[in-house]
Amino acid sequence: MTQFAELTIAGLALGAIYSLIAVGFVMVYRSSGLLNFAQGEFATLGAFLMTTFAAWAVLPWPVALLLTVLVMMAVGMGIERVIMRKLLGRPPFIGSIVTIFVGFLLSVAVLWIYGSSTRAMPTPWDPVKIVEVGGVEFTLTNLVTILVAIVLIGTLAFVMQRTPMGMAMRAVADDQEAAFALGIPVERLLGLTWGIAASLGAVAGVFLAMFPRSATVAMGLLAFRAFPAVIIGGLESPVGAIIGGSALGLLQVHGEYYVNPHLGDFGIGFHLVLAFIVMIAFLMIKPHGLFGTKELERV
Amino acid sequence: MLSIRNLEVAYQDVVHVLHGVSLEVERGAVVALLGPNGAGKTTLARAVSGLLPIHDGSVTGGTIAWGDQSLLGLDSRARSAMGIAQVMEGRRIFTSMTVEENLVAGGFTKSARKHLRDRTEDAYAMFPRLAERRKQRAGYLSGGEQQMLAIARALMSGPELLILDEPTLGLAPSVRDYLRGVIADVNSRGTTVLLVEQNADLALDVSFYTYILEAGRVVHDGASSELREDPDIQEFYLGIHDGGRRKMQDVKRYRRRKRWLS
Ligand SMILES: Nc1ncnc2c1ncn2[C@@H]1O[C@H](COP(=O)(O)OP(=O)(O)OP(=O)(O)O)[C@@H](O)[C@H]1O
Ligand SMILES: [Mg+2]
Repeated sequence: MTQFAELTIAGLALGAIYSLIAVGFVMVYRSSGLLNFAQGEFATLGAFLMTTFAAWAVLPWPVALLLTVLVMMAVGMGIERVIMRKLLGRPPFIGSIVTIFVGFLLSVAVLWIYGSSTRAMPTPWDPVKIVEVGGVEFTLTNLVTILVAIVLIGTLAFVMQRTPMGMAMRAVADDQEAAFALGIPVERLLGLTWGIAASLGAVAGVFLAMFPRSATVAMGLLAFRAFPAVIIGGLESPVGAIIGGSALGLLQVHGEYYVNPHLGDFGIGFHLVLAFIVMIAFLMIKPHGLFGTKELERV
Repeated sequence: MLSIRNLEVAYQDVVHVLHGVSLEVERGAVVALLGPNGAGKTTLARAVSGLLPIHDGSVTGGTIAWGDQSLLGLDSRARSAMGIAQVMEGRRIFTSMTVEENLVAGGFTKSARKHLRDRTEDAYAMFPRLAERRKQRAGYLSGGEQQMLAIARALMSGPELLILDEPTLGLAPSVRDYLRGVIADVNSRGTTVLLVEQNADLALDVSFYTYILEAGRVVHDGASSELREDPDIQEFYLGIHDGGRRKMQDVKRYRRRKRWLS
């Protein structure tokens, strides 16, 4: 039972990272109908930026994280302004394909700035420090990951649900032309959506880089593993993204411990495949995801 | 005053839809634009509110001015800031949001934000049905309530010119009558209205002046009370005719249009 609880916390921490990525993905999808294949590269670039900022001895760790978030927000808004805005009103698949190249550009930028070596992700706490609560042990890193994700996603949910700006952003997602007709600054809000997606991705990248304890250029692919979360939760549901993300994290961690050993050699790395098996099962049984709507068929 | 002169609009640079339309809407008036399906009514509305670019359409000739300011080249946000609002065909409310959230989104423009509270109260006073449903998801409202919401939402920006594109389409006669009152009410509070309609009875009843658009051209215009007495209008738009002639409508309209053009 203790073992199960410990794995659950580790799974939730991984799930928190997936959720951050998935929420960013869903926000872009909802607001503009685009599948943003660059979302994983936001994680990579964010993680590397964080290694730079956190290495500046003058910056306390939380400030470095905030700076990373702000810079990535600007990066996301810049991508919308310079590239995606030109495609407004075109079929969404064109924009979706363009995001593949945007991701490519971002990874080239990372390679160009940081080279192909890995970088340690600094943390202000001892990353292997174990916290014990009622006999259940987990790392402090896991705890911080979960807390940061809750705070970020909670703040975002508040802004989206309760503020006029959030309502205007949802209006853009609901009916772009109607939003235009009401004089809502659609482009600016789409830019903001991209900025939020990029900074959520960046925070995910920062924490993702804490598990193997380094940022690598391959992280974009790691982040891509969050994709099943979006399918499970439903492409246009932020709540679904969180539930899908958490489920995915739990599935991987529990799967690795409980399923892999029973499969012999075949079981090595099986937990990673498990997520995609579940995703395909969902596509067959519930193609719109847990919280998806039929509207997806329009696209 | 809204003045449109020799307006030509094309989609994708090749689909020419409006062929030199001229039209004027005096401040404080209700002017109707009447015409059959595909005449170009919605296209004209888009040209005024700045929604053509979204449809890959553009003004290829003529002018549109609001007061002494040309609207050409301005985006929808700039036009909204100048006091132009449009209620689109098909209501187009934000279905996943509540009634109140729809109103907030409608009042999001810079100049409107400080009036948010007052105007929300005005909207509820005008449409008590919406007040009762303020926390409900707008997608669950009836068609008539959705149209009320679409109008209330457009009024949140405090427009001087309100363009209504077929507000009564698909609604029951009782709701239509209610909306007729709403249009008169909105107008009596000082908002100029350009009413796009296929329902001639309503359009002629509520407006001072009417333009008839067919195939991208204004084929007839005049004071609404006079058009109501016009036998051709009665026959082709008000459906007042002897039983047997109805089937002849298309032929007749064709002949009639020729005469208007010459
Ligand atoms: N985005 C578009 N691209 C190409 N052609 C279009 C587009 N929108 C409208 N049209 C064409 O322009 C013409 C006029 O359309 P419009 O919607 O303005 O007519 P309408 O008078 O509003 O008709 P309805 O009463 O059916 O709403 C039609 O022939 C239509 O096919
Ligand atoms: Mg129309």
